Amino acid sequence: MTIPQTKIAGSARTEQAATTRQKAIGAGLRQIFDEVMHEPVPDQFLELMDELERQDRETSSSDRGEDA
Amino acid sequence: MKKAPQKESNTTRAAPETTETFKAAMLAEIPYLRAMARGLCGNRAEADDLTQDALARAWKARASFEPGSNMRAWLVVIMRNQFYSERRRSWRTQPLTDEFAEYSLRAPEGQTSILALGDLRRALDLLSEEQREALILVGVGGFSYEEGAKLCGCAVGTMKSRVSRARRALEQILSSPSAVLPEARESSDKAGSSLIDEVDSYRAAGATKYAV
Repeated sequence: MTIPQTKIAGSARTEQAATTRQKAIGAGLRQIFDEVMHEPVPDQFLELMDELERQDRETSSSDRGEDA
Repeated sequence: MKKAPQKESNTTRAAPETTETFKAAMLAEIPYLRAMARGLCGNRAEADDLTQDALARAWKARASFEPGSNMRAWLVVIMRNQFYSERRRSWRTQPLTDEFAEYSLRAPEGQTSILALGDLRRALDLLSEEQREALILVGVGGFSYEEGAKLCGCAVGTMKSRVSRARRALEQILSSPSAVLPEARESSDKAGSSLIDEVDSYRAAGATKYAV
């Protein structure tokens, strides 16, 4: 991105500051998000998925029982 | 019983032999969903509850998943629906302060000089729901404007404007000297309810106040 030289004097500094702040905000948001992303998944989630699958297997195995 | 052989089963239905891969695919999305939920709810416990509810719903509805389509987006839609229906009841009634304390403690040294994460987290909470959601989906969640618009059921232009307004609003909140942010962190226990009140009043005024 190129800025015309004449405009730099006036608002360029505040613009630059705003850009810096936006970058810091962007990086901060990313960090907040990534912190959670990189947390180990609590056991309760794995247990939940196992439980859902187990419930399913019970249902489908009783279905299969009719087939067999 | 009249059961079609697995190979011929309808492709929109998760066949038993794909259950494992479906589960694996869902497991892989859990960290992302938790992060997304944290963004939506702000509060860790609520966010994890929301994620679990969404996972359970998704699992039960997995026959509706179109193979080959974007599972992450599918899960986010389910979670978002869950969030908004749940939210009508009792969302965000609890103090959010523990979460903030956690974030500010964890902020690395280099980061805090520019921007304390706790402040940012709190500022994020002052945004309107629509803006916060847009920022999370598109700003950090990795969705395009088009995908975000589809997820939220709004126009692409609307999504773009929400994101840019959210960014500007955050900047304004964080650069405002009257920001409630730093003090509240110190005395989180006592300040809990007053912070929430303040957040509410900010939020009530927020849409117009910050979204210029």
